[in-house]
Amino acid sequence: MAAACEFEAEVLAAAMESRWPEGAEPQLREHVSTCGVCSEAALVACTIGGDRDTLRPAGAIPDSGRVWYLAQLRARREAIAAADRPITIVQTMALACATGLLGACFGATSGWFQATVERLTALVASHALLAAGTVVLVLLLPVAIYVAIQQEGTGTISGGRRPAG
Amino acid sequence: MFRDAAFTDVRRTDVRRMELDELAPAFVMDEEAFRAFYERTARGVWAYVARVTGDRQIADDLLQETYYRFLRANAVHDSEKHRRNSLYKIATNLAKDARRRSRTHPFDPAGDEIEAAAGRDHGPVMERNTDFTRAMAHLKPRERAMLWLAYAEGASHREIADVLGLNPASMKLLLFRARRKLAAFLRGKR
Repeated sequence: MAAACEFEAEVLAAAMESRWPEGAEPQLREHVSTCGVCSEAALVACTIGGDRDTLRPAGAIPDSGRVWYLAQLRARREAIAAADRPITIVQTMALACATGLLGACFGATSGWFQATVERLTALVASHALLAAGTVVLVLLLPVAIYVAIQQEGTGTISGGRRPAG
Repeated sequence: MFRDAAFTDVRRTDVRRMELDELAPAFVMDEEAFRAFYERTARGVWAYVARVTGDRQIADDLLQETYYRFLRANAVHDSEKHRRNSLYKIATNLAKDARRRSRTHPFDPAGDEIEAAAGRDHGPVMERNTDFTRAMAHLKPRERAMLWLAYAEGASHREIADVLGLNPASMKLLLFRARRKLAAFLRGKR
């Protein structure tokens, strides 16, 4: 079947303006009865147009004033949260510094901790290849999972399950 | 003393309100313009999301979010068409995200209760509607989106490409293929 027909636009216009088939010219109707592209266009456009006219009134659409009010409220909350963010960052950094300092003091004064670190260092040095492999695996695994999920989602917007039959 | 305390409270409230007003970003669109735009477009956006996702519940959930993001974008549009395209682009991305979040929510061809919800008794319409819903369920979400934009919204190839983030040069062929696929399902050939 050819991908285009010179009358296609005319047929689509008639279908989308709800003039098809009664309001269309007889010559056009005759053409559509013999043209695969145009009959397909008329069928799809009329069906979708009919569905649109049925579906639109069925939606439970919230009041515009309510949507505006909620948007204002949310924008305001987000603005406050954004303004508070630097304070939270400073607090987190202060906590991290204090924890680091405490850890450093503990590491410097604790004998068994130093012995454990030395044992671990020796263990890693003796199994360097295994340690490097583990580090690479830990770093690459999340990336691989992310890429796999992205590829699976490409080209689809929603629910792709196909019904049987 | 009491008067001073009351005065201080009032001042604090005023200062807080002023701070909030400064913090809250003003939307480019004012309330009146927004409400008019919403009245013109909300049903169309809802129907679009409902058809693309195959789930009216998702459409209900995403409608408010779509308009919120549209307002927050604070974009200046040169025409009503441009503004409408931005809105549909946001709705498309939200539908995409909703699908990623909930892969256990497939398109349910048997769950189309649009006529029932409308409380009308349109036998042949109901039948035609169910056939259409079933046929749509066989299409990929992107195909559903482009068909809906083309034949329900009357969008041009360039506008559809813009909304769906596709190459405008390939739109004609993609739309033709999607239309042929839907027509085949509607005629019961597939």
